[in-house]
Amino acid sequence: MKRFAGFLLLILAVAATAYGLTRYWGAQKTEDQWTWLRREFCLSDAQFSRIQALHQSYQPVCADHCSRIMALQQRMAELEQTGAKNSPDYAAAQDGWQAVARECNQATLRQLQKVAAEMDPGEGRRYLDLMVPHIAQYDHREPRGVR
Amino acid sequence: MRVPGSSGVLPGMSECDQDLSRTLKTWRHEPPPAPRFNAEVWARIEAARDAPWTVAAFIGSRLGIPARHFRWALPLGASLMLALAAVAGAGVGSLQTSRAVNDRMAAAYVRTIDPLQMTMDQGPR
Repeated sequence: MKRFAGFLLLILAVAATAYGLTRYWGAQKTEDQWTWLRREFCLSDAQFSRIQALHQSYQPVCADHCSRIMALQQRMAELEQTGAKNSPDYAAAQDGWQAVARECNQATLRQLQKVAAEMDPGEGRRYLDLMVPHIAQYDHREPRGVR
Repeated sequence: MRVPGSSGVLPGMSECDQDLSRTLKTWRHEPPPAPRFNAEVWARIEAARDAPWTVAAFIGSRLGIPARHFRWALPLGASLMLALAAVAGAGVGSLQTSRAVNDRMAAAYVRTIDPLQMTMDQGPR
């Protein structure tokens, strides 16, 4: 009985050591996002190039959204500082911010769907499953299939 | 059944068969004396009984290393269970690492295309 208990402990120790070493070595690996994307979703050279091009072409759209959001946030901050938080101007800025936020969400989702559409169907679905939950303030009730 | 005659020759035998029969009848094997024959047989039986059924002993036997050198080794079943535990531990670790890396990378990637996250620290919502 004592030997059996000792052996069970040994088994647990071996399993825990193997687990710990795998986690440790896994954490040591450093990979940039593009290398990861290519490896994880088994992208061919052509798919990878098209996805990179999509990413590049989206940057101006993203920058435009950023500047609009920041302008509205700046406006809201100014109104708050002047004590006009209950004013119609503040409400208008807030509505504007929410509209731009919705627009951003939709644009980000569309961008992800475009990228997913460049992948093999199974990989594309897996990509969306992984990416979509990370969109800020995304309404997760919306459908997110590959278009 | 045919019974050979006093010369060891059966009726119907060819001349060649008769020669063989005669040779066999006169042949005598005298093994060299082996005073420790019994002791050696028992020693081999004991060695086989004590030989551990282990991976190390199996490999050792292939390499011609006597089994008595592997008495320290774990039994084969125990070795297999340990190997299984190591594979299971590494498998779970690898799966969890992969999930964590995927989640981290996905979050980082979405941050590069999501204006709301880019401007998150810039002001009120």
